[in-house]
Amino acid sequence: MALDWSELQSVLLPLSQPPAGPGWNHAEMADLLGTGERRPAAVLVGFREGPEPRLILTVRTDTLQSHAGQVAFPGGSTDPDDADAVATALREAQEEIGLDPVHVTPIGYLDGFETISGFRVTPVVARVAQTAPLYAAPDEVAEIFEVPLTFFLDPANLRRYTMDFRGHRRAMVEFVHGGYRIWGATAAMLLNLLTRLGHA
Amino acid sequence: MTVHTTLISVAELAALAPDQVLIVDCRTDLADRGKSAALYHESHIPGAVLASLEDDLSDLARMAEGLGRHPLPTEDAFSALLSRWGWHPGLQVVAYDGAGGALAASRLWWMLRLVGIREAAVLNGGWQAWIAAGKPVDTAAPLRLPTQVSMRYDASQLLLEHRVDAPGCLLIDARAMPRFRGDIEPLDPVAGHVPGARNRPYVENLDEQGQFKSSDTLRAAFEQVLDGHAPAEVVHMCGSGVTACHNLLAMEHAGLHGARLYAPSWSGWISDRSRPVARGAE
Repeated sequence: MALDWSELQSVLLPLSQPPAGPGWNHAEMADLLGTGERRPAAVLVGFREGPEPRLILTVRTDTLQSHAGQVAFPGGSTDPDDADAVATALREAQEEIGLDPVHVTPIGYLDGFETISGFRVTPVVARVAQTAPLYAAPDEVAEIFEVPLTFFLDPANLRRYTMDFRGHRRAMVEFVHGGYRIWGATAAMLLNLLTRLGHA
Repeated sequence: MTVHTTLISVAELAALAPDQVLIVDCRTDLADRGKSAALYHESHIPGAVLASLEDDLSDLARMAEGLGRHPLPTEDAFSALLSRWGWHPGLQVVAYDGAGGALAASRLWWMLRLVGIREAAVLNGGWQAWIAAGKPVDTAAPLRLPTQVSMRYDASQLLLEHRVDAPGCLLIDARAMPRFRGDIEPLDPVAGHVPGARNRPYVENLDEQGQFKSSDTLRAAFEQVLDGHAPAEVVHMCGSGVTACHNLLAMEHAGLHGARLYAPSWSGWISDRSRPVARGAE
């Protein structure tokens, strides 16, 4: 890969410093949602190890109440029992894609991100063992797919566009890979990663 | 429940409830590509799904890449196969064939290990042992609820490049002695073996009944072949990366861990005619 693990880790918030305060897109979300309390959530930005690291993504089932049919990171809202964002991300990843935590090595965080659905998401970046078997929980995940990290590092694959939402003009990004459209919050969190890497 | 990670006996398999096991019929005939499906539809162990060596456990479209006669399927294709079978974590998988595990149950066993699945075993004695024990057979394909899984190959168990003569590597060839020596070659255009390879015909892993020899016997036999080399230095090969998996299973059964597979094997080696070829016993 054009990037090694230590380089990736060096651009992340260290595990000792989880992102605090409002999300990096708070101003934009404040326009849409106001400044009320956001519900805490965490996602796993997991890269499978190997000659070519690959980002693990899911397609939510169509029947799910929120984010149905969308491409998403494994993750969800924080449980009272979760010790921290890493615990939330690992628990959700185990529930949704059968990822055993023994296969996961967290390496840092991206900046906090606020979603239109009122969550404040902590993206936990982690290495995932090359042979971790992934199994989609039938009720929640329709598909698991993996995209080489190098795909995201190629600026030609980052599509920028604007959309009108509730009278606001919003700048959006998306990636399209192998028939999957990665957009919305997931694409925005990836943009945050690319920005930190100096690739966007 | 006991997890079987190498071999499972007929009695042990028969005692498993249908929802506790994924049975895979891997019977094949290298000379007849349609044979797998024909045998399966004629009769199989109840509940078994079919794995065709050519269509499921290989991707013949990749042969031109010098990967030998049975190139591994892509990771996505193998994931799709496991999804179709309804594999899920913790499920015991049992592979069987009609050749003592060599064609091609061990290949599936090894491919499952390659994607990190340990709960997989080969039926000791295979189809013949099942029949000899008077166990029932079926002709219907089971209905299995598909899952969706995503698997990747563990590069540390696999050699796709042709660097098998690297220092420290001990290459073990599972083909029969006459093919190893180059006296005959029924399948590939060039006869002989990779210089430096040692010959361990896979049939020597089996007793007269077609059952694996005891782990102690196999351990002693392989330690002789290893001649001081560590098991992790061993790279197995055969004609096309199929019967070599029988030696991998035998070593694992014998408690000798960490060997790898040179998947392209002899047919991949000779795809570049500039590579050296040795003939004779050494």
